[in-house]
Amino acid sequence: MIREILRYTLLLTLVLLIQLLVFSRLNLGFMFKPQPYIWFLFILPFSLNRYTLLFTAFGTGLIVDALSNTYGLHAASCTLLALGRSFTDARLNTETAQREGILRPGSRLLGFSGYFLYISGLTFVHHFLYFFYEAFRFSMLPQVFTTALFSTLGTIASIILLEFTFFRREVL
Amino acid sequence: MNVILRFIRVNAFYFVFGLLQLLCLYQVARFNSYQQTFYFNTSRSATGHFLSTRQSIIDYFYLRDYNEQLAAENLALRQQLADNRFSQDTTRYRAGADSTAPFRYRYLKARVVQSSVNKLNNFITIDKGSKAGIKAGMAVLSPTGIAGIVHDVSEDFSLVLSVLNTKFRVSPMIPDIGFREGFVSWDGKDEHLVQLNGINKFEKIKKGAKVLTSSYSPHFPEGISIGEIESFSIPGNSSFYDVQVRLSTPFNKMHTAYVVFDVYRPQIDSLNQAIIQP
Repeated sequence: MIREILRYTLLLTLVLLIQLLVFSRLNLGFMFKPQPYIWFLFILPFSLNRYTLLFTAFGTGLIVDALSNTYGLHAASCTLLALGRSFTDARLNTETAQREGILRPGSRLLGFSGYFLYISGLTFVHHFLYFFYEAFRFSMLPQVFTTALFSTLGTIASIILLEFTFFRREVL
Repeated sequence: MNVILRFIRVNAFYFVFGLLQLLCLYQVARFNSYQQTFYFNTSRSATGHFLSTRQSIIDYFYLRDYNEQLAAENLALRQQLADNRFSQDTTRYRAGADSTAPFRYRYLKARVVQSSVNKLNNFITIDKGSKAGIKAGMAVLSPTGIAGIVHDVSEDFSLVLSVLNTKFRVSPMIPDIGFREGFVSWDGKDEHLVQLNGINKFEKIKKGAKVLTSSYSPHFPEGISIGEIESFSIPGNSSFYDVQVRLSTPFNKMHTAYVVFDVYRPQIDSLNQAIIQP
C-alpha cells in the first residue's frame, strides 16, 4: 500500500515536472497547447474510491494552477475529467477485469483502439472545458473548439509515449 | 424531508463534484470581472521561491540575450541624453525639458522569475513586492518597451498582468500622424503582435510607424514604446483599420522588468475618486 502511494507520488512529481518545465514553456502556436500531465489521472487504479479520485484530480489541478497562474482552470477541468472517469470506471471495472488482475483502465483491458478512444474522449472533455473557461466568452467558441481539438492530438501523442515508457509490459 | 435527505445521500458524489466545480468557476468568474483584486498563487512566497530558483537556472542560458537587451537599452538612453542635455535649441518646446520640475517617475528594477506567452491570459511574476513599495496598478516596463500592469502583490513578489493578456488595454499614440485614440489589446494568437483598434480609415498610416503609450493611459508614462505597425487592412464595410502592431518587448525572453512609481499617482487617484463619488 505504502509502496503504491510512493510510486504514484513519484509519477505525479514526474508529470508535473514535465508539464511545468517543458510543456508550459513550449510555444507551438495558439491552437496547439498539449497538457500531458493529465496522464496521471488515467493511470490511477480502479481500487481508488470515486471520492478519492475526485479530490486527487482536484488537488492535481490546484498544484498546476498554483504554479502557472491559471486561477482554477486546471482544477475545474481535472475534476470534470475525474467525473468522466468515475462513469467509465463503473463500466470497465467488471468481474472479468478483476479476475484477470487488471488494476487500471489501459490497453490490456481495452485493446489499443479502445484505449485510444477512451483517452481521446476524456482528454477532449478536459481540454474543451479548460480552453472554454480560459476564453470565458461564447463568441470565441469556434476558436476554443479548434484549440481543444489540436491540443488533444498533442496530448494523446505524449500520453501514448509516456505509456510506452512506463508501462511497456502492459502495452505490448 | 426524508426524501430530500435520501436524494442528497444517494447523489452525494455529484454534489461534491458540483461544489468543486463552483469553487473553480468562482475563481474563473472573479478573474474575468477584472478590476477586483483576487487570490493569486505565484505572487505568494512558497511558489514564488520555487519559481525564483527555477529561473536562476534558466537565466544562465539566456545571458547573451540579456546582454543584447541591456546594450540596446543603453543606446536608447545615450540618445536621450544627447537630446536633453546638449541641445541648444530653446525656441522649441520639449516635454520634460523643464529642469525645475521634480521628476515625476521613479523606476525600480526587478527580475522576472516567471513569464508565459502561450496562454490566452498570460502573467509575469517579478521578484519585488510590497516590501519594495509596489502596489497594484503600477506600470511595468521591459528594457525595450511596455510589459504590463501590476495586478497583485505579496511581500517579496508581484504578479504582473502582461500585455499578452486578453484583459490588457492601453491607450496608444502614433506621433507620425498625431493620432491619440482607440486602444491596444491582444487577441491571444501571436505573442509578437498586438492589435490597435479605433483608427478610422481616413487616417494615413504607414508600415513601420512607431506606436507609443499616450498620456491618456492611467498607468503608463507618456511616450513608452509599444511597437511598430506591422500591417494594416480595412475589413469589409468597416470604417476602421485593422492594425497589427509588432511589440518592441520580446516577452518570450524577458528577464528584467522596471516598475514605474508615479509621484502624481495618489493625486490623480483622489481626483478620480471625487468624480465617481461626489
